[in-house]
Amino acid sequence: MRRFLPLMATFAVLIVLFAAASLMYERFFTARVIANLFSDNAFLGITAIGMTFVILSGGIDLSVGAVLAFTTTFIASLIADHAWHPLAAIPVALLIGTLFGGGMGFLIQRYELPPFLVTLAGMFFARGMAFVVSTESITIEHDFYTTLQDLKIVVGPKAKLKIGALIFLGVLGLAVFLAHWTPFGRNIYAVGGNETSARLMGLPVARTKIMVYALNGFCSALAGVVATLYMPSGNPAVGTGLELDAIAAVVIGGTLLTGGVGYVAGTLGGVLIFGTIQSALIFDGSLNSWWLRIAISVLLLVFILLQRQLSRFTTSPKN
Amino acid sequence: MLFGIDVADSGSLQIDGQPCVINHPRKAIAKGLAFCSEDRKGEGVIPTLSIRENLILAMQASRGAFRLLLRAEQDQLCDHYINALNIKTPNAATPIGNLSGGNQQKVLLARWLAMQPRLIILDEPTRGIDVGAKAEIEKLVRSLREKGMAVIFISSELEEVVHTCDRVAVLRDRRKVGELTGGEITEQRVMELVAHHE
Amino acid sequence: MNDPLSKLKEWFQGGSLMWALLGLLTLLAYDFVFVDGFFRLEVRDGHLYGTVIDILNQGSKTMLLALGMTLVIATGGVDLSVGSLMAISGALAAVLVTQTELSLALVIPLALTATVLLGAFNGMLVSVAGIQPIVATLILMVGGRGIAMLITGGQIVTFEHTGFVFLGNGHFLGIPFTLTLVLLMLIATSLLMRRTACGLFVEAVGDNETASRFSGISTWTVKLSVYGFSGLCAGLAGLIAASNIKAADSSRVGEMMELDAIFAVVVGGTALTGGRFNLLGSIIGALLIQTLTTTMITQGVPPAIAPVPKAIVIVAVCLLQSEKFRTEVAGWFGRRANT
Repeated sequence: MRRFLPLMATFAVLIVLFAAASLMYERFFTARVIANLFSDNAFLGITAIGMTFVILSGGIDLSVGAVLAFTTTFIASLIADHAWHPLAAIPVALLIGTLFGGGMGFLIQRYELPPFLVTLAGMFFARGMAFVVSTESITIEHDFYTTLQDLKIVVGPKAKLKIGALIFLGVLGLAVFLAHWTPFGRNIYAVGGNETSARLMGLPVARTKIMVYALNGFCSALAGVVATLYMPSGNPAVGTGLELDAIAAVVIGGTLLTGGVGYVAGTLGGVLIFGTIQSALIFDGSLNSWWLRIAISVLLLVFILLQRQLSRFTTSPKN
Repeated sequence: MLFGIDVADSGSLQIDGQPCVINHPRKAIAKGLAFCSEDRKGEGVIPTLSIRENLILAMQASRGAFRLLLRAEQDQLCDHYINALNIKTPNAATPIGNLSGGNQQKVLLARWLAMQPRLIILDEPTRGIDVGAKAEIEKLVRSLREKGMAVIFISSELEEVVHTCDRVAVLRDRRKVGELTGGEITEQRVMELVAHHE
Repeated sequence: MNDPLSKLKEWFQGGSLMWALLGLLTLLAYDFVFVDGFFRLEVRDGHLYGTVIDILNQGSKTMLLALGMTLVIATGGVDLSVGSLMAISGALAAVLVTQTELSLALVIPLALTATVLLGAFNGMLVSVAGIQPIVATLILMVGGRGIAMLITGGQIVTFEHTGFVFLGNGHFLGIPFTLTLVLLMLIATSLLMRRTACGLFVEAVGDNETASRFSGISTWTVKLSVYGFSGLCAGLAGLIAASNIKAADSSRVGEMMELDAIFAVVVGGTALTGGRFNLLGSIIGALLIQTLTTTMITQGVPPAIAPVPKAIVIVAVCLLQSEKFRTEVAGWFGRRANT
């Protein structure tokens, strides 16, 4: 039961925040606002889910925002400048993201390079390449896109889940399945918990680590796709700092940065907390955007200290 | 616990007849204690630093950051202990990580001996080192005793214990099960205590 | 062991700064051949001007950050908050200078004290609360910018204060004042580290914290101090940044600069895992980045694409520093020699 304490804490905070906002702002507590939480934060959410896996395995990935940006300009350029059909452009972009992630994972695993630095380089590289594709924003106009953008599931009065939210939820479901019901997921937890033990147990450590970064590359690229649906354009400057928001969401969601501990569901909580604060700020209108940053950092502090206390609690030997 | 690393569950500590509480190695060192850990690699050796730096570390720490030991003094200390303990190394600037286990242990011993402690705790000091160095260390421990230094020698090697110690406390499952002095100290007696053949 | 050369070596000891130097020299060689007038210097109004001077001037912020970052990384940590701390010091100074009558002699220490205290806060989180440095400094990285924006009320605060403007734009003895500042900091820090036992303690704590603690070093003091020092460097860099543009731009100042600083430190020979550090190496690393950026501008490469070569350099340096990689490459050559 104690294992779920961080998760419960995350959702408790979410509920408290949401309740507070509902009390302060009229019409906050509506299906529409809740549905929009998922749509507006879809690309953060997808990115954060990918990041969860990387952090669970004991690593970190700073390149996600840049990969997202590259994906958007890449797709936009293919569609607008080279007349590709989106159904052709999107898979290619996803493939590139996955291979890029896998490439970084390979360097990290094979040569024991620090993930921080390799993914930092990846971030620089992808961001630069995004600008190589295009230095300016490219608008996407295509029937297929318009169709996708209009796609929605109505969940309540004036409340609809658009394509971004649907993809987010889909990814969430797959992620939970992957983490808890597949050997891959179990391996990730094992490697993150204690890599040496995992290796001694005969688990495919190398493969797992590389695949985790490839998976994250895929998620970043997918988030890029969702971003293009949302904007709808390709913009090389987008997503700066996204990796930090994603890491913050993962940590607030209860996942330990040392690896091996955490739940994908927690990340969902973290993302929703992020979204709730942001929505509340928009509703208020008078509070400025920087309060979001301050609020998130305070939450980060609280959660980190909480995690620290909990782990001290569980490891004190009183036998 | 004596050295301020772990917290005691019960009992008390008295030094020079005064009760005291030690909760950090610095305090212990200030009282004249020294501790040579059994986990040489994890708790003793600072691998990329030179022999000299490892050797003078505790001395420097006790003086604080701003009263640097003069280089001449440092070199003198190093030369003294390299000779006295027969540490095999080309010079004192070699990174300690390059030395064999036995020689590393000697440098660590030197670190503590340089402090001229009143009580030194040696935890498994001869573990994982070659026979020659082992004999040298045992000889060293006996000479320390001769000089009047109190030595707590922790070991799981019976022969060593019997050979070196004046007084033996046998611990089993964190409890003291017996104490032997002088002529009582034989391997057989120790084993009996351990196996609880009272 | 007393000849001057080995003494000099030990003074600047640390990991090898060879790679950084090599990289820098290669770049400079390229510039010499392919870029007209790169090394041209001229004297105007008693001040020295030229591309090289520009590099030194613009690189001063990264160089300062790298100094602070070196010590933090040497203890096995990292400080991601320096960019945000830069924003805070700039914001504080700008606001104080424009909205109060306080003299610069008070404003600057106030701004610097703020960042030192915030740095110490980071240090507390790391040493007392035992939080991982990446996470601990992430908090201020995210929140610090918010605080800076709070101070400036979301506006870009401009100022005309001559003294303040001199900080980032003035000249002293012919060279830019910023360069003087960097040199002073480098010398002061080196003296502090090598003429006292501070450097030894930092390296010991970074290399084996437990052994250091058992030897009687107060590890939490060491860690607290290095993060506080990093805060000081960031504060100074932030003041220069604000002075450069005569304004405090809280949302953009220092963005991504923590990464440049980390890069400079690693390239300069200090291992990310801690231990031996090399201050001069970090300075050279910072110069390398700046030279890279400037070279690309002169070659007409749009600045937005500049990160790509940076990325390649980082990976190259990491690979070269990786034992596994070196062994593998040596293996290729070995095999070829045997066939």
